[in-house]
Amino acid sequence: MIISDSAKKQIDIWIEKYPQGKQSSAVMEALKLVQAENDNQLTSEAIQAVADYLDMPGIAAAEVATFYENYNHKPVGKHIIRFCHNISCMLNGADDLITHLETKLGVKTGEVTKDGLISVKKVECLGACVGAPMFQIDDQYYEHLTADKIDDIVDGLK
Amino acid sequence: MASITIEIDGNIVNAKAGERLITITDREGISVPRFCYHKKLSVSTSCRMCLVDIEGVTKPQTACSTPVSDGMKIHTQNEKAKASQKAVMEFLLINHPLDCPICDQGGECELQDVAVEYGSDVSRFSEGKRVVAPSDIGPLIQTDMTRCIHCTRCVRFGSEIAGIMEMGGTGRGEDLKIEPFLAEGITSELSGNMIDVCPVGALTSKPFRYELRSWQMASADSVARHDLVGSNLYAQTYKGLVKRVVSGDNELVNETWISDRDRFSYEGLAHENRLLLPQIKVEGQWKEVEWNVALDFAIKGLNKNALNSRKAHKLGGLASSTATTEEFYLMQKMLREIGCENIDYRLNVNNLDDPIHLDSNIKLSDLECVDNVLVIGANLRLEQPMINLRLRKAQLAGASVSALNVKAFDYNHKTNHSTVSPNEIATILAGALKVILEKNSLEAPSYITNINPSELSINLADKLLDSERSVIVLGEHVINNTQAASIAQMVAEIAKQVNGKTLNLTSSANTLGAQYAHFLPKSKGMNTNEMLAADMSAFLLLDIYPEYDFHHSNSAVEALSKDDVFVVSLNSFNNELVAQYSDVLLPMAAMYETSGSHVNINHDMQSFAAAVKAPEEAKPAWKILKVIADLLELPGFHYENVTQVSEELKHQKIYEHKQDITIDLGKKSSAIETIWMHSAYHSDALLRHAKSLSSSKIGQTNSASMNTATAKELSLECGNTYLGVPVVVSDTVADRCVFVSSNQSTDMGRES
Amino acid sequence: MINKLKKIIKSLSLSELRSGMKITGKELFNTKITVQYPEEKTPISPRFRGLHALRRYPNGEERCIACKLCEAVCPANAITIESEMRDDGTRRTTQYDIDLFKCIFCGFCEEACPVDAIVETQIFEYAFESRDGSIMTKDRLLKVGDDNEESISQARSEDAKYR
Repeated sequence: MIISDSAKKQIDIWIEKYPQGKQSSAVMEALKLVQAENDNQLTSEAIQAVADYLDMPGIAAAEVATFYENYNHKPVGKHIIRFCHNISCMLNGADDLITHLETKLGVKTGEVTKDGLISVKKVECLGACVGAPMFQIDDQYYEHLTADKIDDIVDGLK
Repeated sequence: MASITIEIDGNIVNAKAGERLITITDREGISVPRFCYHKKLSVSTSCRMCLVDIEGVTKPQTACSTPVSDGMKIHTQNEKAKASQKAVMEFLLINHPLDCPICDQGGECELQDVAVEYGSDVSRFSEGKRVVAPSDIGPLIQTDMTRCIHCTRCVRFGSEIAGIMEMGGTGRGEDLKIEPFLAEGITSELSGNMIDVCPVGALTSKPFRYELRSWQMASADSVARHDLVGSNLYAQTYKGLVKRVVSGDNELVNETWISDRDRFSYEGLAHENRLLLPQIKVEGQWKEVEWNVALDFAIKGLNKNALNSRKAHKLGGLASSTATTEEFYLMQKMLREIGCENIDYRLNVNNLDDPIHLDSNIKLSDLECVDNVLVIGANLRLEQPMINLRLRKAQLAGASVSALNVKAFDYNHKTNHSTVSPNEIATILAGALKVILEKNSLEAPSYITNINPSELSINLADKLLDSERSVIVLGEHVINNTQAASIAQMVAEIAKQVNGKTLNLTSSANTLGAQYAHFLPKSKGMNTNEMLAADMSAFLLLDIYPEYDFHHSNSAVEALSKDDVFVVSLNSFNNELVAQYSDVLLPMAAMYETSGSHVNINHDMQSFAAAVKAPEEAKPAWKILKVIADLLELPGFHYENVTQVSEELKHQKIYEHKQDITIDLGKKSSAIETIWMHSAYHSDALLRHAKSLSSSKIGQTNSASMNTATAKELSLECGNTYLGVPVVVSDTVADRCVFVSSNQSTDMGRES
Repeated sequence: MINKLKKIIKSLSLSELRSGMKITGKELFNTKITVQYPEEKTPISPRFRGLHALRRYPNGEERCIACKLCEAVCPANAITIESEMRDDGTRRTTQYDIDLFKCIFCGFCEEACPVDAIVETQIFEYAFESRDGSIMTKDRLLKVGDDNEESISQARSEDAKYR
């Protein structure tokens, strides 16, 4: 069972919010709920299950699931660092900081540390250009990053 | 819409307010480059190639999405427009590989053509190019997604026309990939059109891969003969072989799409199993001989067994429904000249005493405008894909579609499926008819007075009464229903009462051609089943493969194999059973190798010329028939070309077999009903020999579906076989019936 | 009258003979340009368009990808190509014939080739002893290429700076 009954209930609440026949509009929330239930990861089966539940083509759900960075298609660590590399952050040195983070953790972006604690992702703009360069760990934004600041934050992760 | 005038490149042009600019430029013959725009698909404005300059608007606008308004001044060729188009072209070419020399699209590529005009000869892009790993999406379409320019035509084709969204754009930005979601690949019955709509070499024909360049081939107009639509297409030939088939344009017939069946069937022409030389059977041994020897042998045999001894009534003529109208006409003319009335093309019908009579009285283009559709016994998507495409359009425009089927088939549009066993159909229709007659305050005929309309009947009747333009489609699954004739009669009656139209799809290919050619027994003639049961002395058979074509294949082979029966067979492929019963085998030309005509559901007689010559000694069947008639010294066969035959039969009226049908709803069989359908890619000999189609998912279909109760009654389960076909237990099938869709030969005759 | 007199004096003084002999005398001691063919040969331009050859990459893989552009551009219809997908999935020729009786040695095939596969070598001394000798098949063309790769690549590199 990829979608649990409780998840279905919550998806139904989202479906209610849209006009009748537009249930596929709830796809983002549905994917989020299903991902949370399945080790923070979306397999093709899970995407297909969501698509079936919302009566939409599997590929249409997959388009959404692969477009947004908050859906994971590979096993991820306990914490996910989403490092913005779009223009504002890039101009403020995000690329160097990403390299720094990669060397510190010994993984490339898109990979998980050996202990399974942290995975690093390069993502598109997170809308915090004012604090560039920045990253997001789980639900928390960290702005005005420097190499030292990154070291402190990452060392504090458990 | 209000008529307005606009100015394009200094010329005054009339248009309607709100029309898209690109439709006007296309109509006026002004060239505006484009990739993502396609006249039959929605506008996505994703390629940006059609930028034009509009006076008063600061930035260039895309012609495909800009509605025009009165007095608009547009420049398609000025510096601003050209510069923007060149900039877009440069952008598109950033990631496009320069592998035109090995690309199958080379020479017919829209990107290549436009690049010649708008491209720069030097690239300013020195970074790495995007590369997409190759993927296999089935045996029909070859992908090379590195070449993709993300126009999304294939995605839109899938979701808007084919009705099943299989391709999609996954990822984002530079990582955007156009691909199918699951490893299953592309399974649509119309998938080949994606090859046609793809403006670059990302999607190309797999069977055609690396064979030829587009400029090497000659193109011949032709007509597909696998279904009742007769899709217009181009057969592209090289050195006397059909190498590829692409769709033609005809709004009244196939718009601009063709089914995969029509597109890839040509592969069968080059199959090693073609019958190439005339053969005669001497003392049980087959001998390859010259044409004149074979024909003499045939004539002698016919004379000895049927004609000399005044036994013309013991001669039978049967033809496959894939023959051309001219072949039907010449064959029946010859047989009638001899005095033989035993003529029939209906080979797969169990009960020919009460055949189905139903007119098709709606045009294909009108199917899009109906507001209510009732489909009885058809899996339209696979059996008549082009008709389904029109009905799907009607459904999307708001029509309600109901289906009475033995199984809830996977229609690609919203359908109210009612799964009913074949036995119930007549009663349901009778109920609906009763309701309709009551509403129209007409007296109900005696056969329905006792009927108590079910909820389903009332529902169907209400829908039909509510609609203004309804159509009732009678499909192939009904053909062997015990009450087939009554069903057809009631359909006609219901349609008359609700002022609707009917569509008779019970037999496919060129059956209407056969009816125009009067290829049916008249007065005292025998039909197929009577011939096979009677004591016949000779047969003339046109392209018949008994294990697929006959309903009772076993008894048919037995009847034809009798020692004293002389059988002349015209065939395009070798076949063991044909060789077993025939005495003479005459190799005939297959589709694309013969000239003639096909009559489609619009009652249009569409003529086509041979695209290639038949291989080796094979000859067009109309020529063979003409020569046989000449050798039999029959008058009136002085034809020099096939158009003379067409001219002669052009004035022919469709043969109406007037017969009073007594509707008898009591006639039901108590046995479990089996509906046997060949898989969509095995419905005629050419298709069965087309390798890529056979290996596609639809071509691999081989299942006998039944519900749990029926399986229990037959003591079968998944993994067993029923009539040699693997059993699939599914509760979408009606009670006490089995739906077989198989790529194997018919075993029904052997069973019964 | 005067002109006639001048003409008589000119012919009597043998001035034309002397000027002719002067050139003869001069050329007697000048360097000679005549070569003793076939022992001696004149130099050939790197652009010389002689017998055709199909080249290979240094790793031994044939260059030709069966794009058929040479076939399309050939003004004499001298080239015939058939192609297929080789087992490794690459596009290759199954037949590559040049009819030397038809060929006009215009060099368009070489111009059209996107991978420098078909080239015209500096070989001009060849003869056929049989009817089918004029058909350069794929094998023969590849052999010409293999045997002369050094001179072919040298000629290409010499000419490269003018392209």
